[in-house]
Amino acid sequence: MWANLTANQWVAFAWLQLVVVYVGYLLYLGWRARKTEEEQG
Amino acid sequence: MVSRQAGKRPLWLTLLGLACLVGFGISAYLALVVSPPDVNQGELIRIMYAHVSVAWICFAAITISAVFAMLYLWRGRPQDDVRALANAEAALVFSFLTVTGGMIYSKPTLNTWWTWDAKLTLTALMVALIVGYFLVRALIDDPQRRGRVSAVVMIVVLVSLPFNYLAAEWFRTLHPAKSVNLDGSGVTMDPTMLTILLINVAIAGLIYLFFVSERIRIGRIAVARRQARESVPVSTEVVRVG
Repeated sequence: MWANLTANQWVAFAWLQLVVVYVGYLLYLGWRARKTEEEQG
Repeated sequence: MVSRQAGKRPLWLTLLGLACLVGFGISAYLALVVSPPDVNQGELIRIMYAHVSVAWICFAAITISAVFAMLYLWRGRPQDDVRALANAEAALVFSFLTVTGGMIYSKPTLNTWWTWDAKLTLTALMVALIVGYFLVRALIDDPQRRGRVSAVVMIVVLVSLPFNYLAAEWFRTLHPAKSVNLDGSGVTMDPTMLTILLINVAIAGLIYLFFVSERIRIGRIAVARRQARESVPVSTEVVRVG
């Protein structure tokens, strides 16, 4: 499967994982903020 | 008590988040459209902008986290622990991106995802130590002891950084030699590519700043709540339990 990827597909893969991790951490921060505010009461 | 106002995200932080969004779009456009293809790597050079920028920011986040860890050991102020933790989380995010981005870069250019040479082994050790930082924090309940022990772990991560940085020169490794040298020996990179790389580093730095600022904001609320809870008179607690 990996051998069939073109150079542009590898580039897209690299940048996509960057976006996914950034968005994932943002979602975590949002969850963390909500949890902290709920505990605050 | 912690006021509602203290929990609100300040306007400058929201604006910083928006600047990150716009900046990321610009950096992606420069890397994916404007940058010329490399004479050896062709289009794959566009992965370099994503990989190198997060690696530099990862090193910066570890250094700043270790500085606040040292300050915490010195002064014992909870704010320094919060700042060290926020930077450690960013270091974990950016170290993960460094490793995964490096693997994705390595497969099509060097025909392997990973090899246990000195540079990559030291990078794996760095990530393991950062994970260890969070394991230590999860295992210790007492906030002061947790802050002290985890601070020592982050200082150990900092000590490993120079070896990681210089491993590509000291040992045989698949990792390419540096194109931008901090020792004054110069830059072996096309000026256009260098400019785009530096812009990508700046934008990654902006994103790092947003992540850390937001995490510090959340951490401060948690610390204020803990301090408010600890300041409740013992007699009140007894009445509540009874």
